[in-house]
Amino acid sequence: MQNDKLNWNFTVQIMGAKYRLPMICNREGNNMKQDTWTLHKKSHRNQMSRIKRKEMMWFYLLILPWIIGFLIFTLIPMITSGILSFMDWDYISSAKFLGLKNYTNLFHDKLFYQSLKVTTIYSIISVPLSLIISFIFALLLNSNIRGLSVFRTLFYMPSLVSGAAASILWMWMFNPEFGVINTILGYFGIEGPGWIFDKNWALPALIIMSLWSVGSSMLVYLSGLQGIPTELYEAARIDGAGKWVTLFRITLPMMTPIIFYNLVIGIIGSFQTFTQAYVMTNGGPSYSTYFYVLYLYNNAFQNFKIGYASAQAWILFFIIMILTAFVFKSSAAWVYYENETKERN
Amino acid sequence: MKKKMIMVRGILLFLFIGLMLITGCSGSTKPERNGEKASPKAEKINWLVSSNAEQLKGYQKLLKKFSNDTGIPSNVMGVEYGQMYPKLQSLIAAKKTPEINNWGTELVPWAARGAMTPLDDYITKDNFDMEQFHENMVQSLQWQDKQWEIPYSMGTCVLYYNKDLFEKAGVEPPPHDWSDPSWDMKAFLEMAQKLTIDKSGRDALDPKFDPDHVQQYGLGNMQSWWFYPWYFGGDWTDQDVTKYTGNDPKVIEAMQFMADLANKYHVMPSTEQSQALAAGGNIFMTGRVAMTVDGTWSCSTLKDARFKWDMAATPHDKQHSIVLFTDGFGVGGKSENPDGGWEFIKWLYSDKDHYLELLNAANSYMAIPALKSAEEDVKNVLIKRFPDVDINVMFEAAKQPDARPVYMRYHANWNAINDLINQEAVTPIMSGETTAKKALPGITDKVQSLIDEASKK
Repeated sequence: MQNDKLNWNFTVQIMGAKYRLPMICNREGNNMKQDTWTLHKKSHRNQMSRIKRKEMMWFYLLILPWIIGFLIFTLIPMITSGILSFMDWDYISSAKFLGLKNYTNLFHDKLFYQSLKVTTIYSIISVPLSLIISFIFALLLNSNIRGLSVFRTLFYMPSLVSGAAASILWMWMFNPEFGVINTILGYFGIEGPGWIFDKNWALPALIIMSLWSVGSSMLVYLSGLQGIPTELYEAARIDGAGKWVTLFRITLPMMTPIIFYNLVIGIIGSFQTFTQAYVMTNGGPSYSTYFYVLYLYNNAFQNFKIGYASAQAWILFFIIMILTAFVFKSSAAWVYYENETKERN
Repeated sequence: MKKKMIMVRGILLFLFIGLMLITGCSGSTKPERNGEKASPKAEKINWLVSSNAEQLKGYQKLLKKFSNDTGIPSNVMGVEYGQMYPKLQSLIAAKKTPEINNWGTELVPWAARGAMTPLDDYITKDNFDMEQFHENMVQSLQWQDKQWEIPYSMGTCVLYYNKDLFEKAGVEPPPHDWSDPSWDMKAFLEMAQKLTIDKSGRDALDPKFDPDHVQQYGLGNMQSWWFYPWYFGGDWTDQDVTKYTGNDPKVIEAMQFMADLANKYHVMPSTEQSQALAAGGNIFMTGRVAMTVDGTWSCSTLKDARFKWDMAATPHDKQHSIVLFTDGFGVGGKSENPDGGWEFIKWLYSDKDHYLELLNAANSYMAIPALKSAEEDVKNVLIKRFPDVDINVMFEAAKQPDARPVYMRYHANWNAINDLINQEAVTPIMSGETTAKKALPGITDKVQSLIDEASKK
């Protein structure tokens, strides 16, 4: 009967690579090694039980909306943009084939490098910073204090505010004269900078702003923290481990899969930053916040260069893919899975 | 076998649902048609227009009248302000180009790519009277010897001033006469200095003036850098936009002067300070600036000001700096029914009442009407609405012979050119980070190559 059953193993696919989320354990435990759903076959196909066939039908039926959505809104547009990246098209006249010209032009485009530089600096600083801060928040909100749920809600709430609204809000916060930030700095006798209006402070301002929405990764951390077996802590306590030791020897290793997940999501998200730059600074002052996707958008929708913008999109896709692949490769060295260790034993 | 059957069934079902979705997406959203009398043969026209809910109602009413008169069914596609061009791009890409559009003086990137129909043949065929419009508006909607749009109205920039602050400082108000020879840059700067006041009440002419604690600025804003060189007799490009002339000494002088207004004379807030002061609104409305150069369209905002204000002429040194932002009606290239689009334009100007109804629907009285015969009607409305404001200043501005559109925008690549000059030269010059003499010649090759790029095509 065991073999007769349809086995489901949930996988998260990020940029084509399969990644098993440890939070959702598969029912079959450790003997399941394949990442995709599989049917354990009996020797004869025809003997497939009715239940199994029914299950399969339901499977297709239930994922159908997703497949259709994926095809219409992801796969087909992706293929189209791939084709367009070899063409010159302005929406209006018919497209002309250019070969690799869009790509070679891009590598001679100074703004391309500037936008890549801005985006990379932003990612290098904001991703680790949000990882650390959201982790700290999660640790604090995992302790047993009064009004815990209220605090959790409060800290999570900012990530519910949509990008454009948050941008407008932060424009007020960063206002050099009336803004909350400079007013508070003023109390300490510090004359705050011009923030988004100052070439040297605009990017740091956007990085600070990015920390405002750590709520969603905090939530993922929280659920991970709750999943750590309490026996581990009890055992550690009996062995006389202090708070810091427990944090570094138990909590942190047990959380590495989640840190890994948040890191990957963070890298993808930060390389696609657009709204803040579009709403708050329009890439200025003097290109200091000219994010990659903003330049892409301007090429597509202001300069009528759809082909060029598509080539940009594909280059960004490859950059993100390489970075993600690199993180995945490195994960063997620092991400700890409970199941895997058992398997090795 | 059975497994195969299930697969086949699954695929069929998938295709079926997919088809339903696709047809559901494209076909079913037919907009309502106006005009019951429409003959079955007449093809519908669509008008894409930026509008709020109230304006949209007015436009719909107008089009209904048009459909009743001509038998051509019509539809208004309202779109939020600022969303017009993205919407138009997606409509064109979907091969649903609207028949009528309002590109105004941003027409060239569209005309150059075939998104607009030149109207010359229609004008000749129907003997359409172009004399009924102000000539400079007609001209500003031409490009490469073709008429791309029929003018509708025009906005320009004037000098707004706070009457209360002038009275308080005991300074004579700026002249309302565009040809006053004494109203040059020197006089303008001096007036601004007298009206810039620091914390301890000293004006900017006082040697002890404290520029770090300015309470009131003589000048709020000089509007767009596009028009700065004009005061000094220069311009960013030649009229046909074949050559970048931003390295011309006149342009350099103008840009430096404007930067100095903020950084050297301290009569105008820096970009940063003014963003802070205005806090997303209109800086003049704060009541902390004595004068500001702004568009005529701002009148509707200033109506709610808590102080008395009026409009005056902007200074003129070598020449005036008067911009012509003409709005117009154009016909979509590759639209299904361009003739119907032209019929609407013809109908609109066949009777002054149609035109006035449009002005009323758009609530765009704070602009100079393109139709000469409507000038008095508009003036009468304005006098009632702004009894204390000398609205003649606005009408006189448009009549100055050196009033002009922003030539730089008459180029297929103008967005990229604009972005480049702004980010690499104007922003650092205005912030005082560099001088105009250094920055402007430095970008010549880059701008020129952007200009040449489009002409090669």
